[in-house]
Amino acid sequence: MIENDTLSKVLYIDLTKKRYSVKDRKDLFEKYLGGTGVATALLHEECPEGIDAFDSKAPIIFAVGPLTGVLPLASKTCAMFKSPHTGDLGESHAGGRSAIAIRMAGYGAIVIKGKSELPIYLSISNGKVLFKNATTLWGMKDGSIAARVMRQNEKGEGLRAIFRIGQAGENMSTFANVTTETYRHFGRLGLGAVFGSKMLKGMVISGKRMIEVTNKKEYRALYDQIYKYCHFHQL
Amino acid sequence: MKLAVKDAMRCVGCQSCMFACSRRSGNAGLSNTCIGVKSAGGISRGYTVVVCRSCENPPCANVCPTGALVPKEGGGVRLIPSKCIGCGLCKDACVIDAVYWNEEQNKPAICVQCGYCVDYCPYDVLELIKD
Repeated sequence: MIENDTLSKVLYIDLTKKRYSVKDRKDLFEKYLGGTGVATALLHEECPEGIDAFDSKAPIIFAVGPLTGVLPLASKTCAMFKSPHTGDLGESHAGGRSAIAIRMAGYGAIVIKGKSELPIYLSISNGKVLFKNATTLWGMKDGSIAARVMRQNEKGEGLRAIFRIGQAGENMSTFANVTTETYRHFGRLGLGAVFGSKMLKGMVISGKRMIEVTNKKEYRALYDQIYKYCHFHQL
Repeated sequence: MKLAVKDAMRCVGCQSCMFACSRRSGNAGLSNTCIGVKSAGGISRGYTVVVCRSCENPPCANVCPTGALVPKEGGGVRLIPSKCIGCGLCKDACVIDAVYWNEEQNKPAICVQCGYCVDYCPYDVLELIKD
């Protein structure tokens, strides 16, 4: 791992108690490959066997990998949860700014558990998690309006990712998705419904940190090599 | 040499320029970036790309109480980090918000008009105008 990297920090959010904590999980990030590996391990830890997908104890896990924010194209966030559609493993990936925003906010993974008694959205920046009242946003026909409200109320312009659900998620339709940055989606296996079951309307996350590199010259050369290859060659 | 936004309509918001700018220091991440790409009121409405216009009579340098921002000949400013106390007046003085902030060092991130970002824009949004 890169020294002084915040990748191994896992943000645990409890929607029932409206509390959060950060744990250093170097053990996971050194052992498992990428966001998918770590998210799988976290799901193993956090998701009780045989639990209903809409149970408050069922977790939502987002994880990113070590290359995010360091090398080109590493831009996917991996979401893991229990799928309400199949009752089996739910794994869904989305791009946009989601992965960069999580990484730049100083986390490698986010674990969301519990259930709020009123609709809320989360605002995550500068090492803080704010629980915001989303009662007025619940039930809006056009999901983009809820996103606009979050955009206007929260900071991190140009750096943030805004995750949100629409009415399908609120009504716990088992294949509802979570949209980020208007055009990107956690589309598979009903993550939106799990958001809805927790009364979680959305999440705004942003940050702007440095990832310190030991060999700066070599790093830039490697970046250029990958960037040029991706840009000028047909993959 | 002056950095300019050639065509913001072509911008897809990939942040490649922002990472390039921050990478000039040799490190990864975004803390040191002097270029900003934000949506123009939601991504469906396109992007605004904000770069330093290297003013000839720079307001950011004019408000600096410690003389840490020195106007350069031909426009733009140079930061003398040891003089900077991180008051943030320069940031507020720039009407286009082109003075970015390095939160880890609590000092402004000032564009040096090097054009490093231009080479990393896949869609020719940016250009470096030679004098």
